[in-house]
Amino acid sequence: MRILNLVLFFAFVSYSFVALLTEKHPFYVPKHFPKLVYQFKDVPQGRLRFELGRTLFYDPALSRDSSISCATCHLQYTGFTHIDHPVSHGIDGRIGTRNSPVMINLAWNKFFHWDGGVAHLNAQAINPITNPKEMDMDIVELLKRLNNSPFYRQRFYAAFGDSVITTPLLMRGIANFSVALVSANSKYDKVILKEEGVAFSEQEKRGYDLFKKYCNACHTEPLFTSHAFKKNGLELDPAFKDFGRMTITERKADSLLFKIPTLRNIEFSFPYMHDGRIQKLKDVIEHYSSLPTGNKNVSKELKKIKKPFSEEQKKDLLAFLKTLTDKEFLYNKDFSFPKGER
Amino acid sequence: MRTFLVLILSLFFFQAKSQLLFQFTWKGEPIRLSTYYPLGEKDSLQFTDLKCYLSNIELQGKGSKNYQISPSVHLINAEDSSSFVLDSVVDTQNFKSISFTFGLDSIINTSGELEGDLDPILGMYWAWNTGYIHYKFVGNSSLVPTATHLFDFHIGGYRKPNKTYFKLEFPLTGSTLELDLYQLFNEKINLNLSHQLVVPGKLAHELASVLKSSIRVK
Repeated sequence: MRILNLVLFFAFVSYSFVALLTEKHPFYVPKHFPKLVYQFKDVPQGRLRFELGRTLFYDPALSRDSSISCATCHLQYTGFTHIDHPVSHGIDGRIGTRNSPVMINLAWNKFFHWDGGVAHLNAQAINPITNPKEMDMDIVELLKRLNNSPFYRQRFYAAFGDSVITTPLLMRGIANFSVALVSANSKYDKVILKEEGVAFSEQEKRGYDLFKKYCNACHTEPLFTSHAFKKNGLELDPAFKDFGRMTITERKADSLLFKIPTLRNIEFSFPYMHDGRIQKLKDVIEHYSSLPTGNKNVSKELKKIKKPFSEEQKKDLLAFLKTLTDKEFLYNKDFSFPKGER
Repeated sequence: MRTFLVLILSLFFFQAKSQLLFQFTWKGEPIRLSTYYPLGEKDSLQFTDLKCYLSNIELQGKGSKNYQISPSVHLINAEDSSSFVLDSVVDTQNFKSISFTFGLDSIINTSGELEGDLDPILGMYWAWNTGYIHYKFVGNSSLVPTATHLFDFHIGGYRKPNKTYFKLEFPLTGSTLELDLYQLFNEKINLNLSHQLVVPGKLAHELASVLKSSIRVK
């Protein structure tokens, strides 16, 4: 009986392993989405690479004192951002200067961070890992730590055919998780894809019309961002002295320009704006509705808004924005804390 | 036996002669780390860290055949003399000119490739602003008015108008590429007034332009 148990156990283990080997990477291209930006050089990616990335994403061993993981500031249920915190806090409670951005549909992004300072998804994770206000971890130390772990050596070997963990492998591992975070199953998507039995309410429809007229130029469908950098009328916070895009490009014209964020799952990714200074979504709408005409600190698209919105219009817009919530994404078990032994 | 030895030695000598090399120099002499070099009448400086990127190196043949040096990205590190060898296979005498990118072009800077000499652990990667430090000069000098007398120049940036990489071509009159730092530190930079640069921008572009004119083939 004991032998039978043992045989059954090994059969199960090898079956799970084979299942993982043959199962596909969860990344997909929704049919109503534009052309991909991320170049998949090593297709097929395979489930094992995704799972490795997921394990790394949730592992606090990536921070200096093993206290925080990527997920600390990028929680799944809020669209992979840090809710309630205007700006994110990292190791030893150190406070940063920016609101952690959502991680949604990153494979369509050309630039990363609020100032677009990072130009490739594969290189993005180096920033939070090494930033003294975030995970404050030296890459050389981290590689030592991972290479000393039989668990990770085995995982990297299984995923990439190499048990020596290097910077490029580590980054590709993490990117294999972040690239998979595709959100395209909101009510909006279902309406656009003409799914049976799904339709906008009258209020959502009015909100959508308003959105297309005044918001779509920057928060362009279906990704709800044009990926450009714009000035949205927020004054400089003297405590942070964050000039946004100008820090990267050194061009005066880029002062106070920040990347346009996606509006997908915006209902749950509060607080808002690059430094999280606005708590409620209705107040963001209020901000754009009440921008003084003739304000030089706003991009031209915002000057076209017929202000102010009526109370009805604001409610309509809010109702539409809530149709961008994708619960299948926010609660997708593939993206949550990985189960299993360590 | 003796003939054999001579043959081996001469083969070795011949091989060594044809290698394509890189050298940091100070008034034409190879720079040694931690050696003091005079600056003006009573001051001096020493380098503790010298690094520099060259990429897409190509030799143009006397006939029609060109030779591309692989890998395409080459980090020169004064601490590691093997990094001075740009290529040990080819005989430079068979080529008439050399072309290369001094620094790294914008494509390499933004490719997301982190392999080989582009690995961030080599201390040349700028995480906050995707891209690489193209030239890194660290050391100390009596001219620097701080307590440690340290200077630290991280020169990089690939965006116009402040790009710090250049596509260059030289007749192959020798087999060593020399980058002479005397002009930069003696004429362009006044260490008494400026001893640190860690961001891309106008100054980085100006310093890189001086470096560009400090390269020669010898």
